[in-house]
Amino acid sequence: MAFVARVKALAAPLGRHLRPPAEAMRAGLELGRDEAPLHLDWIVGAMAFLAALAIVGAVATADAAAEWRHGLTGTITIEIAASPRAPGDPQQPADDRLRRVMDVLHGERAVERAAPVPRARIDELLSPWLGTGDLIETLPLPQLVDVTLAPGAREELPGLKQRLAAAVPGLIVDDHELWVGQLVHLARLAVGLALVVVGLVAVCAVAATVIATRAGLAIHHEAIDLLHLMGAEDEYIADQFASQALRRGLRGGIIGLLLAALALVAFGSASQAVDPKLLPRLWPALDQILPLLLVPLATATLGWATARRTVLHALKKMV
Amino acid sequence: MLGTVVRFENVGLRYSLGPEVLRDLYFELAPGSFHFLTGPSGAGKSSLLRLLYLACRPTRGIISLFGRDVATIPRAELPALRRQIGVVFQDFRLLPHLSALDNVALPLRVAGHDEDKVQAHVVELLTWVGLGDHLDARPATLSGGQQQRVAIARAVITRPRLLVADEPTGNVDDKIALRLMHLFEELHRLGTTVVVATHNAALVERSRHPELRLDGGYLSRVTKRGAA
Repeated sequence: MAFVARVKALAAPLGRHLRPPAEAMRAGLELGRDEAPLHLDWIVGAMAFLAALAIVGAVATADAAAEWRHGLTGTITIEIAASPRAPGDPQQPADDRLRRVMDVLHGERAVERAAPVPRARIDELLSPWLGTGDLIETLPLPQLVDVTLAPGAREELPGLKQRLAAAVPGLIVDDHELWVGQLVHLARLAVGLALVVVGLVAVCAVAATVIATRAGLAIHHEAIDLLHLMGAEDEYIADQFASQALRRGLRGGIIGLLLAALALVAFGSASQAVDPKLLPRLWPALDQILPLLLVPLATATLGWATARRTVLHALKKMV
Repeated sequence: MLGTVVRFENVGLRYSLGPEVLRDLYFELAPGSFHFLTGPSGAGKSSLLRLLYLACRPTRGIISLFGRDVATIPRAELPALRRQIGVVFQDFRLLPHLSALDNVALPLRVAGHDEDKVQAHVVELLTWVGLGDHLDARPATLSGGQQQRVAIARAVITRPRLLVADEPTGNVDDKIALRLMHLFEELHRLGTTVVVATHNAALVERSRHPELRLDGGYLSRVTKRGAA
């Protein structure tokens, strides 16, 4: 019973702010009717929509970048330059350097899997540029070895490189570091931009709430004056505006969230038609978009705090 | 100063850069006293009342309410002071979106009274002023006299220490006027200090209470024989 009483006590202020408009009006101010031309609910809804899309964009970008990074940082590619062919023996294999490389790799704890890339696969990779004719078969192509590193073995890569270089001087070990670095930088930039968008949207929402609240103060100044003369404290008046802004923020947030959900479903359906090899997965997982449910709470809290502060600031200037 | 509810010392008031509408006012109102405030239109009665119910501050002089200099009272303490003052406005200033009951209940709600007691007190008072059948009526549906009674009920519902009324019987017939004056008298007997601004000479004549007369911004006191 004590717990129930405690919960009721904690919920009481929220209930006071969320009571029906007709009941709220009995506190003195008829808010929410005269300011209709401003349509704050829809303004906040549009802001919430933009913020939700920006958040989803940031989450999807960060997720895709992490996926790319994970895929690349766990692998390296070893390139053994094509050997000079012996005269009269154009089909000579890449000598025993491949064997020496494989010997080194098989003795490494850091290596989970290592396999030479078959010549047919190399030809296939080059076919978009060189075609599939005889030319490609006569070209001296490097031998590639795909290596999958053991989890957490990236720190041992410098030692592995040294041992490979000692076994086969001149081979190239591509750990994709440059590519990964650029990708991470780009992803961070995209996430940063999304956060800037969310911040700007919040600033616009605050500005709209301030304008609406000031309009409300101007419209209801006679009633506010009367409440003051009856002995109403500034908080009594500010709470009425804050309650109104909280309800509008909640409504606007829910409207924006629903619109964003519709847009995301439409985008997700359209993106499924695109070849996944061409486009990374830009559709965030469900658990990643669950935080979007906080958007209406954020818009409601922002509206409540902004309206309250605006009213208290304005009332301080009154007698 | 203790022992007085209201004390004006050399008080003057002007609006913006205009002429002084109140000049060199000196007077005191003792606790539980009853005064009429009279004077021709434009004499400054409403301005004096505005000073009394703390709607504005004087441009010069000192006003003390309940023993405290108004100029030195921190803003945060003004609500508590204002709750001790009941005001009947000449234009009623009822909130049009609220019922008669909710209009009268507003001062109690502002003061944070328990809602159950609010309902009981308001219904009792509205019934007493003859509006028991109009509890849920909006001001727009009430006559001028009924609105005035709602305004008076709202002013007295908190049993204020100081009641300031601007032409409280201006829109009602003699029978209702007498009934409202009895309400003020009752409050007066219970210890409320009452100031009633009126043009109704007959009302003032019938009463034994002293009269404060304003003319051209200056105040004079007219004490009748046998005055309280």
